[in-house]
Amino acid sequence: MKLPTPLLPLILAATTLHAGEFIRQHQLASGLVWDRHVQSPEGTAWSPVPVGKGGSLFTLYALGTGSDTKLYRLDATAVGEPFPAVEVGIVSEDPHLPPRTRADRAFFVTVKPQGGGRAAPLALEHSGTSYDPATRAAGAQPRTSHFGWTLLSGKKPRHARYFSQLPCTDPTRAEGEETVTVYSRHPDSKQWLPLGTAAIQIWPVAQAAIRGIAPGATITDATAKNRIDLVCRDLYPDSVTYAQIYRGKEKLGTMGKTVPGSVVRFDTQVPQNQKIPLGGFLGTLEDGHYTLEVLTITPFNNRRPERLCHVSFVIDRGLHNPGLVSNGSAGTRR
Amino acid sequence: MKLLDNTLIQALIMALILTAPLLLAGSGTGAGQLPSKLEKPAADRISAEALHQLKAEHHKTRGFRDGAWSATPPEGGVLRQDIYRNSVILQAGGSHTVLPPHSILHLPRSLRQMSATRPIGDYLPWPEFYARNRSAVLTHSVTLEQALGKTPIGQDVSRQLRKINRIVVALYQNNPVSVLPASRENAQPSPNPKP
Repeated sequence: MKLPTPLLPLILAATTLHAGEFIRQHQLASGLVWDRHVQSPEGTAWSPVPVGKGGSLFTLYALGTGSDTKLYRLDATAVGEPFPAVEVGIVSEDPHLPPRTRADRAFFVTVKPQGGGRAAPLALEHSGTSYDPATRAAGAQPRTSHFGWTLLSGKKPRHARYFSQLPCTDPTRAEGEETVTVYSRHPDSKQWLPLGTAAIQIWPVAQAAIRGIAPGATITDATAKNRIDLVCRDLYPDSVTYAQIYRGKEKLGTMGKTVPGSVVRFDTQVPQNQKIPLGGFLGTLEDGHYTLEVLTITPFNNRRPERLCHVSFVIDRGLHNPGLVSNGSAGTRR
Repeated sequence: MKLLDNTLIQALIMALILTAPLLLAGSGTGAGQLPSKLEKPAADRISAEALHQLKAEHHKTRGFRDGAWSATPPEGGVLRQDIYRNSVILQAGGSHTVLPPHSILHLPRSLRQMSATRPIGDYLPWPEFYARNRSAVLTHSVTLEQALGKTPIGQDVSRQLRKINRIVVALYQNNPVSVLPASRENAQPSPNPKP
């Protein structure tokens, strides 16, 4: 079907929308405002209202989720003759969509002018919202930070590397989302209007502690059956975490033996806290020096394991047990 | 026996609570969750001090290098997008909704208290607000030309709307729309000229 050109229809595209959301179209020259209330969770629709000679600003508003009954502005884009088309994107080492990364990893912002039209100066705003660690969400009183503005020529695609700037005393604990919005200047009003926005979730670096063995401890026959627990906090949403043990003092890069029952994998939307009970497994080891490590595999470091924590200790029961066997670098008793 | 049953139920509940993150997340436990080829550990968890330093070094060349960074928007400022400043607010029964400016075609004196200058209570999407307040709100479809102020709404229609003791909201394609004041330059003859 050929659409009438005077109407200059525009696609309103949105993802995961519900009936509580609407797209407001504001014809900048005439001042006409039309609110299109969304009926389906996702989809594309033509606007029957023309963009207009002065362009239109489309803004997506949404009702909060759950018991949150506030109205939020989620996104906005200005289109039409006065504005260049620009694609704004954020990528990280984690291929998950929507984009996410870890507080210690860089992410990459891309600004690509589209269509080969005239180049217009662009302004870029970088901002962020910290999450409440208890809910992993912004909460009713979001803590928003503005990291600043810069101008771009808008002539060619640009890429930049960023680290999270979310304010946090311990930067490894930062969690929230960071947003980059690109603006173009309206030729008449001289005001800057948003062209596109990209956002990325920042999750904290996981922490782990080994409970039940003190560093350098000597495990005797009496303490060999003590419970050992791994207490893990903020395991990355896409991660496999496990413990390994090997003979000798700690040395990063050592391949040990995976401790049975220690493996836990997550494929979730938010970081996870997990207590992993290892029981009294020390009783299965023969006497000697050992190191126990907690490792996690995430999309980062090319999915090579990262060491969250370790403890070295000695088992000395003061007896020789012929039932003990060695397997690689770790000695186990069957 | 009852004590045993209670203990068993409590144990089951505790087990469910402890394993909830795994059950709900589509995740898993056990050696089968490890990659088929396990590699050597490559790095230690970064410390807060090391990350502070890494960020400080990066900050010197922070992102795009076209221009300096500023704490404020560039000259001209940013178009303000305050939905409540740029909307008509209707409220009823502890809830409110927002409509485009100039979308109220008729506001009876008896219902003026429903028109608010700031939001009070919960936000309700327009379709839900309308469904709950049909006794006080009526809709009237307009054409795009009427919404743009190029064609005035017929005087007969306007007269009829003013007689209704309900708030009349303008709709275009079943969604709320502004009806801009008719411009003399653009005005076309009304389909319902004054007799």
